[in-house]
Amino acid sequence: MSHTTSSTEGLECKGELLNRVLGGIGSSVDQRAFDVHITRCESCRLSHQLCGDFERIGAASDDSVRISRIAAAALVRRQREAIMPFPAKQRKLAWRVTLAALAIAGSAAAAAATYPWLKGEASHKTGDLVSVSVPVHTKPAPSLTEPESTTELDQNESEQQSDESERSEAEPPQLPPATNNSARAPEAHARNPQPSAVQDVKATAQSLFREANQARRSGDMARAVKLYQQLQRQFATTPEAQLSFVSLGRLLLESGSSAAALSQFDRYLGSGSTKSLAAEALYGRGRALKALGRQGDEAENWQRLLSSYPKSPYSGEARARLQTLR
Amino acid sequence: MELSILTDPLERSVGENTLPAWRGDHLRAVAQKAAEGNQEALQTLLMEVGGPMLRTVRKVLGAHHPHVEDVAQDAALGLVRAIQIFRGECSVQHFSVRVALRTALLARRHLNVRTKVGDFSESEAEILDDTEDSPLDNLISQERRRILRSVLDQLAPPIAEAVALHFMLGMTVPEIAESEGLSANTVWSRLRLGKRALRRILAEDGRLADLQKRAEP
Repeated sequence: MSHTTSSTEGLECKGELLNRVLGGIGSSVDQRAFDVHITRCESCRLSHQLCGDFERIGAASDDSVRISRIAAAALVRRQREAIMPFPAKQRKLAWRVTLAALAIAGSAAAAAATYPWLKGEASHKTGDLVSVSVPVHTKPAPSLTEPESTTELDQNESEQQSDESERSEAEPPQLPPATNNSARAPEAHARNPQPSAVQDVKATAQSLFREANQARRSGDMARAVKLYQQLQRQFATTPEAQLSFVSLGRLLLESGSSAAALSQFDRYLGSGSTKSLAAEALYGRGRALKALGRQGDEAENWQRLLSSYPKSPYSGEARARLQTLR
Repeated sequence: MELSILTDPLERSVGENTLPAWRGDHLRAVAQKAAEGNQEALQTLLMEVGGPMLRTVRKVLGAHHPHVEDVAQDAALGLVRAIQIFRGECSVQHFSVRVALRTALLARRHLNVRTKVGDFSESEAEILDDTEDSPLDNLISQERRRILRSVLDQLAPPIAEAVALHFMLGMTVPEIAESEGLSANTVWSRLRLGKRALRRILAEDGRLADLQKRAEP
């Protein structure tokens, strides 16, 4: 054991015992020796106490919802980076965070990859890291069991679809902000917009969404699921993809895939986009939570629906269910 | 949350007891596919490591800080970017948690999240795993955590990082040295400086002294 201890300094111990105990490779003999050691060594005692203090920090009961939201927002931002040129005015935190992550990966290649960002070059390219191509053709999604019954979407949804599509044709594509933090709001226009490419992207997202809805209405659920998933993979930042979270969530719920359905509703609600179908998403989310037996989360969900959308068509059912849960 | 079918079961089944720890890492296959740009893999990866990453951000900022979720999102985005050059020298979860730690430390500096010793704004109880500790012991732990966070704000970034990796993630000196590409002596020096600052403030904190006196038999 190569260490020195000093009762006055207490900070010079190099803590081989501590390394073994903390690293989980200490024997029972080591542990006993360590228990004696920390009565004399202030440095190791401090490490032992504080490491234990932070080890106690745990998870909140609603963390799964939070994590879904965080993951969805991060993926949307990543997709946005892949499509749009990186803004000239980068928030310092954003690129410094990336540099920090690259430093962990720790290679000269990483440093070279960030060089264009450091120079602040304006170009259509978004830098080596973010220009990783999003695969156009991906493996087909796993098939799901056919649902026993289907329900028609509200007229509201098709109205929303045409509204969203009309808005997206009239204006540049509105990419949803990741969070409520206004510092993250994207610039109103791309630096060098490429109208034809943007138009192609919108047209394909629209046609996919249209086909998926048609498949759903005609009862071809497997095809509808496949098309919604393709839309979400290939055009994640489009309004159609955002709406599809609710459509697909309902299909998955009706087919018995409650956990996957919950994920879809969470992605919609956490996406930061204009929430035209938020009440529908909350309703679906409540049903998914009920199917999963998560009564605490379910009750919280109904409360949220009632407080945010008290006049929605789902309020009656929400109140009745809350009554049952109490 | 259900694990995606993208996790390769063969990664888990072959020689886990004999290969180095990271070879049995069930997230390696997912990470590889995520690095190739597979969106489902990215989703799966974030859902799998999101919990530990969120927990790490809480450790640095404090559980009830209003920016926890924003910073966790930044960390998730940082991971999505960095996974493409992840070389598998540690487990995917370990890599993710370190990304989260660095992101949160940067955020502390840039969001001006600074608490002075004596500022009790972090007094709200944190989210803790179930323990058998008494409420008083929990209060003492909470106070020590608050003091460590405030000390981080006063340290130079390299020292703050070493301190955070050691106390918040429980990494040993050899582990920090290896992961950061530093010599063990450099890590020891940084930790020594950090502990000196911490020790001084712990000794001066009246509230902690009061709590510890109450805890004495």
